[in-house]
Amino acid sequence: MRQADGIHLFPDHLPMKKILIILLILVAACAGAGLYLWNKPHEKAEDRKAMVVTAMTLSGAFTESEQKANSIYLNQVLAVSGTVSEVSKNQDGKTVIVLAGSDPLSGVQCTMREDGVKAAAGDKMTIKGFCNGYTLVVLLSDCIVP
Amino acid sequence: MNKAAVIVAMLCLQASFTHAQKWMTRTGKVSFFSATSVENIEAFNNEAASVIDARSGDVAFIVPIKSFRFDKALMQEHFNENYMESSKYPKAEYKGRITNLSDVNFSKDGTYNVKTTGKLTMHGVTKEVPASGTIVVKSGMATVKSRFMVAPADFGIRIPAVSASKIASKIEITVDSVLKEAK
Repeated sequence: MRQADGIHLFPDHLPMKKILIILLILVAACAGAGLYLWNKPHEKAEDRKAMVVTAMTLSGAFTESEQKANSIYLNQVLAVSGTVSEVSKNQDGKTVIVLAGSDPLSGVQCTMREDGVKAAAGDKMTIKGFCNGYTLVVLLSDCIVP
Repeated sequence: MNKAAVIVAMLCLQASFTHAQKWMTRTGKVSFFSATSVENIEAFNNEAASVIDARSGDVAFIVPIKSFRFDKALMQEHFNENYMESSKYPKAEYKGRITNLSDVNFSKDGTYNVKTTGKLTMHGVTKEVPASGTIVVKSGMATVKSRFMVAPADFGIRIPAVSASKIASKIEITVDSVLKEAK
Protein backbone atom coordinates (compact mmCIF):
# COMPACT_ATOMS: atom_id res chain seq x y z
CA MET A 1 0.00 0.00 0.00
CA ARG A 2 1.11 3.52 -0.75
CA GLN A 3 1.54 6.03 1.96
CA ALA A 4 0.85 9.75 1.73
CA ASP A 5 3.19 11.77 3.94
CA GLY A 6 3.39 8.87 6.30
CA ILE A 7 -0.39 8.65 6.82
CA HIS A 8 -1.89 5.27 5.99
CA LEU A 9 -4.62 5.72 3.44
CA PHE A 10 -5.65 2.12 3.88
CA PRO A 11 -4.47 -0.28 6.57
CA ASP A 12 -1.61 -2.39 5.20
CA HIS A 13 -3.13 -5.68 6.19
CA LEU A 14 -6.31 -5.23 4.15
CA PRO A 15 -6.10 -6.51 0.60
CA MET A 16 -7.60 -4.45 -2.20
CA LYS A 17 -10.47 -6.89 -2.64
CA LYS A 18 -11.70 -6.45 0.92
CA ILE A 19 -11.52 -2.68 0.61
CA LEU A 20 -13.59 -2.81 -2.55
CA ILE A 21 -16.20 -5.00 -0.87
CA ILE A 22 -16.48 -2.59 2.07
CA LEU A 23 -16.83 0.36 -0.32
CA LEU A 24 -19.49 -1.46 -2.29
CA ILE A 25 -21.47 -2.19 0.88
CA LEU A 26 -21.24 1.47 1.90
CA VAL A 27 -22.42 2.65 -1.52
CA ALA A 28 -25.29 0.15 -1.46
CA ALA A 29 -26.31 1.29 2.05
CA CYS A 30 -26.32 4.95 0.97
CA ALA A 31 -28.27 4.15 -2.18
CA GLY A 32 -30.74 2.12 -0.10
CA ALA A 33 -31.24 4.94 2.39
CA GLY A 34 -31.64 7.44 -0.45
CA LEU A 35 -34.15 5.24 -2.22
CA TYR A 36 -36.11 4.75 0.98
CA LEU A 37 -36.28 8.52 1.60
CA TRP A 38 -37.17 9.22 -2.04
CA ASN A 39 -40.04 6.73 -1.99
CA LYS A 40 -41.14 7.43 1.56
CA PRO A 41 -44.94 7.23 1.69
CA HIS A 42 -47.14 10.20 2.64
CA GLU A 43 -47.94 10.30 6.32
CA LYS A 44 -51.47 9.17 7.15
CA ALA A 45 -53.85 10.49 9.77
CA GLU A 46 -54.01 7.05 11.41
CA ASP A 47 -50.22 7.07 11.92
CA ARG A 48 -50.50 9.75 14.57
CA LYS A 49 -52.44 10.20 17.76
CA ALA A 50 -55.14 12.79 17.23
CA MET A 51 -55.87 15.88 19.28
CA VAL A 52 -59.56 15.69 20.17
CA VAL A 53 -61.59 18.89 19.66
CA THR A 54 -65.14 19.94 18.76
CA ALA A 55 -65.86 21.83 15.53
CA MET A 56 -67.29 24.68 17.64
CA THR A 57 -64.13 25.09 19.72
CA LEU A 58 -61.84 24.72 16.70
CA SER A 59 -63.60 27.23 14.45
CA GLY A 60 -64.06 29.59 17.40
CA ALA A 61 -60.32 29.52 18.08
CA PHE A 62 -59.50 30.39 14.46
CA THR A 63 -62.06 33.19 14.15
CA GLU A 64 -60.82 34.70 17.40
CA SER A 65 -57.09 34.60 16.67
CA GLU A 66 -55.81 32.80 13.61
CA GLN A 67 -52.20 33.14 14.69
CA LYS A 68 -52.81 31.69 18.13
CA ALA A 69 -54.96 28.88 16.74
CA ASN A 70 -52.28 28.05 14.17
CA SER A 71 -49.71 27.66 16.94
CA ILE A 72 -51.94 25.06 18.57
CA TYR A 73 -53.61 23.21 15.69
CA LEU A 74 -51.65 23.75 12.43
CA ASN A 75 -50.01 20.57 11.11
CA GLN A 76 -51.59 18.47 13.87
CA VAL A 77 -53.78 15.45 13.36
CA LEU A 78 -57.18 16.40 14.79
CA ALA A 79 -60.25 14.33 15.57
CA VAL A 80 -63.04 16.88 15.16
CA SER A 81 -66.60 16.18 16.18
CA GLY A 82 -69.60 18.23 15.16
CA THR A 83 -72.78 18.50 13.14
CA VAL A 84 -72.58 18.22 9.35
CA SER A 85 -73.75 21.45 7.70
CA GLU A 86 -72.84 20.71 4.09
CA VAL A 87 -71.71 17.79 1.92
CA SER A 88 -70.27 18.38 -1.55
CA LYS A 89 -67.65 17.22 -4.03
CA ASN A 90 -64.56 19.23 -4.91
CA GLN A 91 -63.38 19.76 -8.50
CA ASP A 92 -61.48 16.48 -8.43
CA GLY A 93 -64.49 14.51 -7.20
CA LYS A 94 -63.37 14.15 -3.58
CA THR A 95 -66.05 14.31 -0.90
CA VAL A 96 -65.95 17.47 1.20
CA ILE A 97 -67.83 17.60 4.49
CA VAL A 98 -68.31 20.82 6.44
CA LEU A 99 -68.89 20.61 10.19
CA ALA A 100 -70.81 23.58 11.55
CA GLY A 101 -68.73 26.13 13.40
CA SER A 102 -69.25 28.68 16.08
CA ASP A 103 -70.95 31.13 13.71
CA PRO A 104 -72.94 30.57 10.50
CA LEU A 105 -70.17 31.84 8.23
CA SER A 106 -67.49 29.62 9.70
CA GLY A 107 -66.92 25.89 10.05
CA VAL A 108 -64.48 23.02 9.62
CA GLN A 109 -64.06 21.83 6.06
CA CYS A 110 -62.92 18.22 5.78
CA THR A 111 -61.67 16.81 2.47
CA MET A 112 -62.06 13.04 2.68
CA ARG A 113 -59.31 10.70 1.49
CA GLU A 114 -61.69 8.05 0.20
CA ASP A 115 -65.04 8.12 -1.53
CA GLY A 116 -68.14 6.44 -0.23
CA VAL A 117 -68.36 8.21 3.11
CA LYS A 118 -72.00 8.43 4.10
CA ALA A 119 -72.88 11.85 5.45
CA ALA A 120 -75.82 14.20 5.25
CA ALA A 121 -76.55 17.63 6.67
CA GLY A 122 -77.60 17.30 10.29
CA ASP A 123 -75.56 14.14 10.99
CA LYS A 124 -73.30 14.10 14.02
CA MET A 125 -69.82 12.94 13.05
CA THR A 126 -66.21 12.72 14.15
CA ILE A 127 -63.64 13.23 11.39
CA LYS A 128 -59.90 12.77 11.65
CA GLY A 129 -57.40 14.57 9.43
CA PHE A 130 -54.46 16.98 9.12
CA CYS A 131 -55.10 20.61 9.99
CA ASN A 132 -53.84 22.78 7.11
CA GLY A 133 -54.84 26.09 8.66
CA TYR A 134 -57.60 28.56 7.87
CA THR A 135 -58.97 30.36 4.84
CA LEU A 136 -62.66 31.25 5.33
CA VAL A 137 -63.07 27.95 7.17
CA VAL A 138 -60.74 25.68 9.15
CA LEU A 139 -59.19 23.10 6.82
CA LEU A 140 -58.76 19.42 7.47
CA SER A 141 -57.25 17.31 4.70
CA ASP A 142 -56.72 13.64 3.85
CA CYS A 143 -59.54 12.85 6.29
CA ILE A 144 -60.91 9.55 7.53
CA VAL A 145 -63.81 8.56 9.73
CA PRO A 146 -62.11 6.77 12.63
CA MET B 1 -79.30 38.54 18.22
CA ASN B 2 -75.60 38.03 17.91
CA LYS B 3 -73.28 39.88 15.57
CA ALA B 4 -72.92 37.05 13.07
CA ALA B 5 -76.69 36.67 12.71
CA VAL B 6 -76.99 40.40 12.01
CA ILE B 7 -74.30 40.16 9.33
CA VAL B 8 -76.02 37.20 7.69
CA ALA B 9 -79.38 38.99 7.77
CA MET B 10 -77.81 42.06 6.17
CA LEU B 11 -76.13 39.97 3.48
CA CYS B 12 -79.44 38.25 2.67
CA LEU B 13 -81.18 41.60 2.48
CA GLN B 14 -78.48 42.97 0.22
CA ALA B 15 -78.68 39.89 -2.00
CA SER B 16 -82.42 40.28 -2.43
CA PHE B 17 -82.00 43.85 -3.68
CA THR B 18 -79.10 43.27 -6.02
CA HIS B 19 -78.48 40.30 -8.23
CA ALA B 20 -75.44 38.03 -8.02
CA GLN B 21 -72.97 40.26 -6.29
CA LYS B 22 -70.48 37.79 -4.93
CA TRP B 23 -69.02 34.63 -6.29
CA MET B 24 -67.07 32.32 -4.08
CA THR B 25 -65.49 28.94 -3.42
CA ARG B 26 -63.66 27.27 -0.57
CA THR B 27 -62.51 24.34 -2.67
CA GLY B 28 -60.75 26.14 -5.50
CA LYS B 29 -58.02 24.41 -7.45
CA VAL B 30 -54.56 25.90 -7.73
CA SER B 31 -51.46 24.08 -8.90
CA PHE B 32 -47.87 24.86 -9.78
CA PHE B 33 -45.31 23.47 -12.12
CA SER B 34 -41.54 23.75 -12.05
CA ALA B 35 -39.74 22.65 -15.19
CA THR B 36 -35.99 22.05 -15.43
CA SER B 37 -33.88 19.75 -17.57
CA VAL B 38 -33.26 17.58 -14.48
CA GLU B 39 -36.86 17.06 -13.42
CA ASN B 40 -40.38 18.46 -13.49
CA ILE B 41 -42.13 19.05 -10.20
CA GLU B 42 -45.83 19.70 -9.76
CA ALA B 43 -48.17 20.05 -6.83
CA PHE B 44 -51.93 20.41 -6.50
CA ASN B 45 -54.19 22.20 -4.06
CA ASN B 46 -57.96 21.79 -3.76
CA GLU B 47 -58.49 23.97 -0.72
CA ALA B 48 -58.06 27.49 -2.04
CA ALA B 49 -60.73 30.01 -1.07
CA SER B 50 -61.73 32.74 -3.47
CA VAL B 51 -64.21 35.59 -3.54
CA ILE B 52 -64.96 37.80 -6.53
CA ASP B 53 -67.17 40.84 -6.18
CA ALA B 54 -68.91 41.20 -9.53
CA ARG B 55 -69.79 44.83 -8.93
CA SER B 56 -66.46 46.23 -7.77
CA GLY B 57 -64.27 43.70 -9.60
CA ASP B 58 -62.38 42.86 -6.42
CA VAL B 59 -60.69 39.47 -6.54
CA ALA B 60 -59.28 37.60 -3.55
CA PHE B 61 -57.61 34.23 -3.35
CA ILE B 62 -56.42 32.59 -0.14
CA VAL B 63 -54.21 29.56 -0.76
CA PRO B 64 -53.24 27.35 2.18
CA ILE B 65 -49.63 26.28 1.61
CA LYS B 66 -49.87 23.01 3.53
CA SER B 67 -52.66 21.85 1.22
CA PHE B 68 -50.29 21.42 -1.74
CA ARG B 69 -50.00 17.72 -2.52
CA PHE B 70 -46.87 16.37 -4.16
CA ASP B 71 -46.34 12.96 -5.64
CA LYS B 72 -43.32 12.43 -3.37
CA ALA B 73 -43.73 12.87 0.39
CA LEU B 74 -40.10 13.97 0.66
CA MET B 75 -40.61 16.82 -1.83
CA GLN B 76 -43.72 17.93 0.06
CA GLU B 77 -41.68 17.95 3.28
CA HIS B 78 -38.87 20.03 1.72
CA PHE B 79 -41.38 22.41 0.14
CA ASN B 80 -43.09 23.04 3.49
CA GLU B 81 -40.10 23.03 5.81
CA ASN B 82 -37.19 24.38 3.77
CA TYR B 83 -38.68 26.61 1.10
CA MET B 84 -42.12 27.94 2.03
CA GLU B 85 -41.67 27.66 5.83
CA SER B 86 -45.39 26.94 5.96
CA SER B 87 -45.58 26.70 9.74
CA LYS B 88 -44.54 30.34 9.89
CA TYR B 89 -46.36 31.45 6.71
CA PRO B 90 -49.32 29.06 6.35
CA LYS B 91 -51.02 30.79 3.45
CA ALA B 92 -50.50 32.82 0.32
CA GLU B 93 -52.94 35.58 -0.59
CA TYR B 94 -53.74 37.39 -3.79
CA LYS B 95 -55.75 40.56 -3.54
CA GLY B 96 -56.48 42.31 -6.78
CA ARG B 97 -58.99 43.97 -9.02
CA ILE B 98 -60.27 43.20 -12.50
CA THR B 99 -59.12 46.11 -14.66
CA ASN B 100 -61.50 45.45 -17.58
CA LEU B 101 -64.63 44.76 -15.54
CA SER B 102 -66.91 46.31 -18.17
CA ASP B 103 -65.97 43.45 -20.54
CA VAL B 104 -67.37 40.85 -18.13
CA ASN B 105 -71.07 40.12 -17.78
CA PHE B 106 -71.50 37.86 -14.78
CA SER B 107 -75.20 37.42 -15.46
CA LYS B 108 -74.75 36.13 -19.00
CA ASP B 109 -73.17 32.80 -19.94
CA GLY B 110 -69.94 33.25 -21.85
CA THR B 111 -66.16 33.24 -21.82
CA TYR B 112 -64.59 36.53 -20.82
CA ASN B 113 -60.94 37.54 -21.02
CA VAL B 114 -59.90 39.23 -17.83
CA LYS B 115 -56.89 41.20 -16.62
CA THR B 116 -56.12 41.91 -13.00
CA THR B 117 -53.67 43.99 -11.08
CA GLY B 118 -52.99 42.96 -7.54
CA LYS B 119 -50.67 41.99 -4.78
CA LEU B 120 -49.47 38.50 -4.00
CA THR B 121 -48.31 37.85 -0.46
CA MET B 122 -46.41 34.69 0.29
CA HIS B 123 -43.54 33.68 2.53
CA GLY B 124 -44.06 37.00 4.31
CA VAL B 125 -43.27 39.07 1.20
CA THR B 126 -45.80 41.13 -0.80
CA LYS B 127 -45.25 41.84 -4.49
CA GLU B 128 -47.28 43.39 -7.25
CA VAL B 129 -48.28 40.55 -9.60
CA PRO B 130 -50.39 41.32 -12.66
CA ALA B 131 -52.31 38.38 -14.07
CA SER B 132 -54.55 37.60 -16.97
CA GLY B 133 -56.92 34.78 -17.66
CA THR B 134 -60.51 33.91 -18.41
CA ILE B 135 -63.74 33.72 -16.50
CA VAL B 136 -66.22 31.26 -17.92
CA VAL B 137 -69.76 31.98 -16.72
CA LYS B 138 -72.09 29.02 -17.15
CA SER B 139 -75.26 27.97 -15.35
CA GLY B 140 -74.66 29.76 -12.08
CA MET B 141 -70.95 29.01 -11.94
CA ALA B 142 -67.90 31.07 -12.83
CA THR B 143 -64.70 29.22 -13.64
CA VAL B 144 -61.58 31.32 -13.16
CA LYS B 145 -58.60 30.21 -15.20
CA SER B 146 -55.26 31.90 -15.10
CA ARG B 147 -51.61 31.11 -15.55
CA PHE B 148 -48.72 33.26 -14.42
CA MET B 149 -45.07 32.98 -13.48
CA VAL B 150 -43.65 33.61 -10.03
CA ALA B 151 -39.96 33.72 -9.12
CA PRO B 152 -39.25 32.19 -5.67
CA ALA B 153 -36.31 34.60 -5.26
CA ASP B 154 -38.72 37.57 -5.41
CA PHE B 155 -40.42 36.23 -2.29
CA GLY B 156 -37.27 35.63 -0.27
CA ILE B 157 -37.37 31.89 -0.90
CA ARG B 158 -33.82 30.61 -0.97
CA ILE B 159 -33.04 27.46 -2.90
CA PRO B 160 -29.76 25.88 -1.80
CA ALA B 161 -27.10 25.24 -4.47
CA VAL B 162 -27.59 21.45 -4.33
CA SER B 163 -31.24 21.79 -5.37
CA ALA B 164 -30.84 24.76 -7.69
CA SER B 165 -30.61 22.61 -10.83
CA LYS B 166 -33.86 20.81 -10.00
CA ILE B 167 -36.06 23.80 -9.18
CA ALA B 168 -36.93 26.35 -11.84
CA SER B 169 -36.11 30.00 -11.17
CA LYS B 170 -39.63 30.80 -12.35
CA ILE B 171 -42.55 28.64 -11.27
CA GLU B 172 -45.76 28.47 -13.28
CA ILE B 173 -48.88 28.93 -11.17
CA THR B 174 -52.17 27.65 -12.59
CA VAL B 175 -55.53 28.71 -11.20
CA ASP B 176 -58.56 26.66 -12.22
CA SER B 177 -61.27 27.41 -9.69
CA VAL B 178 -65.02 27.05 -9.96
CA LEU B 179 -66.86 29.79 -8.06
CA LYS B 180 -70.55 29.75 -7.26
CA GLU B 181 -72.93 32.63 -6.78
CA ALA B 182 -73.11 33.34 -3.08
CA LYS B 183 -76.81 33.63 -2.32
